[in-house]
Amino acid sequence: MAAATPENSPALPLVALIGSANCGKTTLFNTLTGSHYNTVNYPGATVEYAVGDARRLPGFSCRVMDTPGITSLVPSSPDEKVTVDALFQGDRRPDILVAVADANQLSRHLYLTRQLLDLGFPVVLVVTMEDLLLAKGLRVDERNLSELLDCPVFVLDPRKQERLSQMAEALRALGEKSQTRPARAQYEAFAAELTEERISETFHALDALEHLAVKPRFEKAGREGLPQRHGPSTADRILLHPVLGLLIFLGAMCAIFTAIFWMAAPLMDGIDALFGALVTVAKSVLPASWATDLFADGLVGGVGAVLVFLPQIAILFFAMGYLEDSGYLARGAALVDRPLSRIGLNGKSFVPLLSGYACAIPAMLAARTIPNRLERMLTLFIIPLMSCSARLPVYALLLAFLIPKDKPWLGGLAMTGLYLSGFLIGAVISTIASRYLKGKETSGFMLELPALRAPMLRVVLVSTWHKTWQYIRKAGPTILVIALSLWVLTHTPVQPAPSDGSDREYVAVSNSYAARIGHFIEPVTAPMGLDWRGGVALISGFAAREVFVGSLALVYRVQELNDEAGMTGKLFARMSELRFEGDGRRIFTVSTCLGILLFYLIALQCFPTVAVARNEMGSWRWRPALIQLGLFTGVAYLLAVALVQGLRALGVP
Amino acid sequence: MIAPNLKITAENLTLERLRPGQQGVVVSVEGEPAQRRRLLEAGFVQGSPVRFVMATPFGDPLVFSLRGTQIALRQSDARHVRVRV
Ligand SMILES: Nc1nc2c(ncn2[C@@H]2O[C@H](COP(=O)(O)OP(=O)(O)OP(=O)(O)O)[C@@H](O)[C@H]2O)c(=O)[nH]1
Repeated sequence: MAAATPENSPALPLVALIGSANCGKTTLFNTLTGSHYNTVNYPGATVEYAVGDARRLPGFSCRVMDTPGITSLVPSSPDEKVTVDALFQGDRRPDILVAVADANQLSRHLYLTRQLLDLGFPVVLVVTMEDLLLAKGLRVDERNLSELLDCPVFVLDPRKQERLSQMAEALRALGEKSQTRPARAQYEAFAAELTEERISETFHALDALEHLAVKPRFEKAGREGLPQRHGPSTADRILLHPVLGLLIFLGAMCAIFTAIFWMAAPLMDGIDALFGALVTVAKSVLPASWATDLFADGLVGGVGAVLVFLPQIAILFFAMGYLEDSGYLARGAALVDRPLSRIGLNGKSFVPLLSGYACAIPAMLAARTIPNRLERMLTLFIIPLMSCSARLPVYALLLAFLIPKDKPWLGGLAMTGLYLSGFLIGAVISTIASRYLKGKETSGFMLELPALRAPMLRVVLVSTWHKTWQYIRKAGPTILVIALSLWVLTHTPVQPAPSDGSDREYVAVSNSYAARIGHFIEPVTAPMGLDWRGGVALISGFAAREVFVGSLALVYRVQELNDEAGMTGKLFARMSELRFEGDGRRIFTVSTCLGILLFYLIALQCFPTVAVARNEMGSWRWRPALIQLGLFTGVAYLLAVALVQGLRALGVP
Repeated sequence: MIAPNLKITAENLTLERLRPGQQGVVVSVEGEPAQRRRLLEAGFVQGSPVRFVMATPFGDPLVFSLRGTQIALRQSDARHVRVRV
């Protein structure tokens, strides 16, 4: 059996918050840490855990970890397995557990606490949401509950800073008893013995316990407290109404995407203009040299390219967080279960697919909540077809370029079309695949619908900030390195200044390594209507899609145009005048732009996604991930070529 | 899978047949082992009162109230829970 503090773990004891979904863990975590935390990767899993110092816990120094909700120590989906594994293995095994349970459903939530106690974990129980129980005329008898369970119990509202010093005292006392934690072998034995009789017995015992621990708030009220209201709440009558419910669902989806396009636009323009200005300032202040160009165009411009699409990602994260916290997301998942089950997916595919519109990587991790293996695989398979935020700058650029300024609604419509098409293509693929692949497990859907409530704005904002920062930290360096390498590739080998008075930048780029690569792949990119420079931009998009826009700016030497405001303005000016070097035809014609759009809609151009897909598809190893890569990219290319050539044959420029 | 000795009667039916607002008490849970365990661990154990709250817009899953909370359950899962009204 491992000692309480293994040699290799950090000196401070680690306290893990464990409980079912929606019990208030995250709220308690924020209260304990004062919302100061980091997300860390758990060894052997790409799942992220929030870990922070418990700075609001007076007199007891420890680190606190938030975990994804679980109902039982025997997991029934991969996300639960990760949490359970974390309790028994790895060097970040928690020393003390804080079990969190909702006072309104004690028997259900204490089921897990009972398991933890039976296994011999040092546990402190926190009972939340008593305010809601009080409203029903009932209360929790803390002393009684503590005696019955034989563990410290705190009934508190985690939204308030209350009883923290008492909790600290209890945690310290538990830690000092130098308790041992159960070993893996003990757990295996426990899991093997978890028969149906055991489960029923546990619940019957918990029913008796709940009967003793939950009391009428006022003596004169009966045991049942105030008369209970049966039937759905008024909000649910509306939100789950056959007609209204659907309209609200569609309205919510529209609102999210509208916010992404319209609310983000001014912010993005601002960031864009700011970095455009910074580049100009850098160039005018620093002496004209190779290094200055690298700094200004490569580095500053590169950082701008990373930051410009952040508003959209942040808005999507915010919207998802808000809906989740309000309890609507679970209702959304239940609502779409039937249509999604028709196409081989599950209601639980809803959140992963929706997250896919921000970024495929967290979306794939979210797919772990789908218990059925085949449905999980299909969800993972089609997630990359949801247009992630990295594709947005490309769509935005090309649509804005194609569509006249006086018809912004057409742009909105086209954007909606692109976003819907991604989902529809995914739906077709999963429908076909589910006809041919037969899963061994029966499909099902069971999800708790938490009480609806007004989310706390501050909490949602903090978590949005963390998720967005996480995204910058992960994607930022890659994008920056690519932007810099691309700049170097387009500017080396260094060319002597031309003596005949021709444009220096032009000579540099056309003789660069990038040009050589571009010319080499021109036979492949030409059918899509792109010259070698467009080809370079297109491949650079394989490192990260959004790099395409920055690369276009680089290879087409946008920076030297000083008369337009912001990168985008310059890029437009350049794109409309660009011509093929040989015959002088324009490059960015309607057909070419549509071809690029189609390519970006379908192609899997993100290698980190492929790596995560491989990981998440488990024992199927590389095969599905590589099929995904080859199929989506190949089909995207063929369709794009067909579209460009077809349009040209029809006389579209 | 229906145990042969349990006939469906007015008082003894499967969960998805409850009428809105109607309450039953769980008698038994069937189904394949993993599915059965999920239902049991969610609290659908023998003797638990369950109330059918409402259907979701497409008619499936159904919303039940159980042990102080509401749970959306697909009809194909609910069919495995036998209740007495
Ligand atoms: N009324 C009331 N609401 C609470 C209480 N504690 C938490 N909440 C609210 O309950 C909701 C869910 O809390 P979370 O902390 O997100 O729950 P969680 O267990 O982390 O949920 P998951 O992240 O889904 O596992 C939030 O909107 C909280 O504001 C409480 O004591 N009373």
